[in-house]
Amino acid sequence: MDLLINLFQGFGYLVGWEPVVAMTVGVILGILVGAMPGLSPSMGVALLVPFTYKMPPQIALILLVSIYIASNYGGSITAVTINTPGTPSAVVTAFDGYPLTQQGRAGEALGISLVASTVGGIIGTIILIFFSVPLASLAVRLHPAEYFALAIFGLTTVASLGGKNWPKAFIAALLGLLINTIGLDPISGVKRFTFGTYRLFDGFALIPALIGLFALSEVFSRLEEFKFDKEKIEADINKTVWPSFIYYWKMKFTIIKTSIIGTLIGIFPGAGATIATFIAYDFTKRGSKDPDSFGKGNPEGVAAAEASNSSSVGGALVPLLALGIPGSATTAVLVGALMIHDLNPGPLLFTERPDIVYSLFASCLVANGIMLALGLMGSRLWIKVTDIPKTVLFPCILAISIIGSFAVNYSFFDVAVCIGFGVAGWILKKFDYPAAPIVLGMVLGNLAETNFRRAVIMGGYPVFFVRPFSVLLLLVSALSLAYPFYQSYRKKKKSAAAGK
Amino acid sequence: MKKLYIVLLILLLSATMVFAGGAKEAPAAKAEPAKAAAPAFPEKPIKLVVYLAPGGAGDILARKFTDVASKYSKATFVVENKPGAGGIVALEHIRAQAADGYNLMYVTKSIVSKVATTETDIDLNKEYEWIAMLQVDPECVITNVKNKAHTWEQIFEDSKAKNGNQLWLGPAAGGLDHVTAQKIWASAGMQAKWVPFDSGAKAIAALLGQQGVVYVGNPAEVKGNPDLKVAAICYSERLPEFKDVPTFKELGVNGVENEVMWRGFAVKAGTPAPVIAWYEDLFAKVSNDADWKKTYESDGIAVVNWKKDKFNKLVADDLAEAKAAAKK
Amino acid sequence: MDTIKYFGKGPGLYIMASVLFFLFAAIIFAIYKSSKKEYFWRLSIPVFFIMTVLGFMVIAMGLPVKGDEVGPAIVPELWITGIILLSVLIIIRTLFGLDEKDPGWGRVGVVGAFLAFTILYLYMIIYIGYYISTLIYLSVSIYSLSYRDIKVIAGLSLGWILVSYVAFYRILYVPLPKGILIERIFG
Repeated sequence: MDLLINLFQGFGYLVGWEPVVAMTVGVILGILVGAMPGLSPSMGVALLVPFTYKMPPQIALILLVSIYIASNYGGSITAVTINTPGTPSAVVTAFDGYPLTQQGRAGEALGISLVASTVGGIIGTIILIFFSVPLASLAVRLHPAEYFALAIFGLTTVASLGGKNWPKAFIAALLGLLINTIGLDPISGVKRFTFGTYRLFDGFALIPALIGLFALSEVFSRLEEFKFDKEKIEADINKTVWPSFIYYWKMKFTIIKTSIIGTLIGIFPGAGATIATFIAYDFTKRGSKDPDSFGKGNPEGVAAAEASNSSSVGGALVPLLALGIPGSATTAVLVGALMIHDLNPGPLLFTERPDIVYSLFASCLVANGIMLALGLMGSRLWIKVTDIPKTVLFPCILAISIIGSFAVNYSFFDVAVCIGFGVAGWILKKFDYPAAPIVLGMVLGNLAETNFRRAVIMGGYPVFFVRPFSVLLLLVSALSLAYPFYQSYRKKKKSAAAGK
Repeated sequence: MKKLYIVLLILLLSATMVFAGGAKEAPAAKAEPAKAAAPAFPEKPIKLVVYLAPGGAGDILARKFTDVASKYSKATFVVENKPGAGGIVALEHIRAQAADGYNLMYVTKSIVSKVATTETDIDLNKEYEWIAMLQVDPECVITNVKNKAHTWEQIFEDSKAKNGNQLWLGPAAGGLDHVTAQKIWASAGMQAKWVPFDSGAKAIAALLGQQGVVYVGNPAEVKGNPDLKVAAICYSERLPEFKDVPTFKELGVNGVENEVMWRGFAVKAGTPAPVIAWYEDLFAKVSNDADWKKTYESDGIAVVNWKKDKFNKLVADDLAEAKAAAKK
Repeated sequence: MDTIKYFGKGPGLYIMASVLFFLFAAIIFAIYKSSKKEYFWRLSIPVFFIMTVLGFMVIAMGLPVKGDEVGPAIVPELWITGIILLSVLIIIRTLFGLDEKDPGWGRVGVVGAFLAFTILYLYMIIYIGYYISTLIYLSVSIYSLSYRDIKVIAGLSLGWILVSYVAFYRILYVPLPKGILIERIFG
């Protein structure tokens, strides 16, 4: 009951022009940061931190959290319209979002990604408000063995992503994992595959690789096909048709389920939004009556991806507020922003400064509402991107990619890496090697490797089979790996029987 | 057939570009040697190079410094983040700039550890002028009060019972915290295992989850969490902000009285003397600033101002020690 | 073990890389001359993977191991083994005709020209600064892709420069290069 009263007071803090302006500005900036390839949510928040020094702590936090929330949605806009995920967590959104655009259903894709983001964000926040304490104490008890099992589970999603091309999808994932081992070894500090250049000490940065693999490779393959103007889709008329409420209502279970998955995975410090989207997408695809339609423009795929990445924000805030432990790169920046106002995140914050905590909760809910309103207005604008002639769009994408990959570390090396990944992605895509598993491998590599080795240091090799949760996760991974093969075996048998 | 050649050419082109990409920048940044310093320093904004990503504690310290410095000087400081390879990217960046004082670098002891444990041709003593050391943050041993062993005596007993399998948590191996832990083990005559995490915060999470017994870090890290407690500090005397916490010396463990994290600023060697004098004046004012002192002293940090010569010697000593330790 | 270490760095690394390269060249030449020419790329790519990761394998086997825990080489070796096994599988599948023939190449000349111009653009950024080179890059590349509305081209390039100046340089403090030559001339 206290909680509800506190929360009610939290909403009270939001009355007034300052919080509303902070949230609106935050949401607008967040959408822009998310949509801009090269600016990830954590960079967006970090770059804004200096502006918040002179603000009152509540307003500063509301502004930064609004950016965080909205940037996860912003990433989907470019993923849907031009097949260029603006953030790593929007990679999965492009799986079905871009095919929808190609079918002339961009309005549908943008609508569902906005609604799923909003609902996901709200569900994540509600879980954060009511269950943060028990969930946080669960999160810290997770042993490295369990983190490793989670990473393996994330990797098994490749099995169903790849379809009949599964060996190529797995090679792509393994390449991502191997690329991730380049640099100083995170455990012992030994230089691995750095070829004598200090630029590789931290390996290849994820963002330039992501831009190259998606944005540039797309431009290159379109240039190769050289059909810019025939692009006009005959179903153009449907493009601006916006779905009705009933359309969204049909997907309620998908959105709710994937929101819960997203929140839960967001809680694990270090797992994050990207892994959540892959697992949620895989989960939805397997549960669907028509799994083959995924990847070809199934709106449920967009809903799963967006609901899970937005809800992971609420999850990532759980360990931050309940324990003072950042659960993602972005929340690590938020810790810094809190410290500058002499606030120490952790359980004491709830008793010492409830005003901060509950106004933060309230602003998470309200900011999602503002995002919905702004997104509805903005969608009419985003959709115009699909009207830009490709001859103009492609040079612009290249210019954006170059400044975006430069902005990560202010380094031309990253720009070169981006172009290199672009060429590699173009060739690989031509021969049916998907790019998404490479990104998944690069995201999961560190999580899998460090936790594997940490677990062995802590308990020797048997540790993975001693802890029940780790055993369970590994078993589920093995099953989910085998299931697609079993399915296709049965299908073959059936069709063979039917053929007779 | 012709197309095949073009594709191969494209592949070759992009591959060489990635490999050459790193080298491209070095000549681009090579500037001419510093001209004689203009009488009025600074004439343009000073870049404060931070070797960490924006938003972390070190980044915030640098920004706090620019904030305080603006009270005493009209100079404009622009914080420039050059993260990567534990500071080596930033050191390389400074090395490629002119020695005119317009590139000030935020430095900590962990950079010294990093250079000592990495094969690199960077010479910390000759290539950089370490102009001001402003903070001394003692290393300490942090425990979880929910654990059975949370005082130093209990930890010591527990380590004996576990026979070398007691788990100590902290950031990456070879870093300052790990080296401190090894010194504590040697001084106390005990054995334990170091479990490296991606960051200090994640190691603290594991300590809160009772996955290990000890976390090695700095006293301010217990703030905001009642389950965490500082068990002992590696300093010659008790800290005013943590009066109840014993030093290792009081506990009978000798040889770890001065394991500290220091933080300060450096410029490229060869920076003109008047510029350094200007900085020394500024650092003296900042280190006496009430706001600066209050912010950091409440974290148990000693706010000091070591000038050039003393700081240079400290770096040389720390580097020699870290190198010797790395060889073992 | 020491012989492997020799090939992991320095001159040994070059020797190993060239051996693998010539091996790779020989294999793809053989594929090109063989009856499986229609599968040239589909076979060459997994062969390329195998050769590359073999190089990584040699480096990994020479990595130092400190203490008795899992060393830095184990996990990369695991991934490498996986890549080799799957590459072999793909080669076998292709040889047995389970994969389609190579798709034809389109206008790769356009891609090459575009790429070369982009690399030129990067060099221009270094020497004459971000703003001027971007103006040239955007207008020339849009024009050469056969878009002809000069007003739109000019507006777009200037608009982009303005956006990058305000958003990246002013607000986000991204130090966009001013250009060595420009700095020399104007100090």
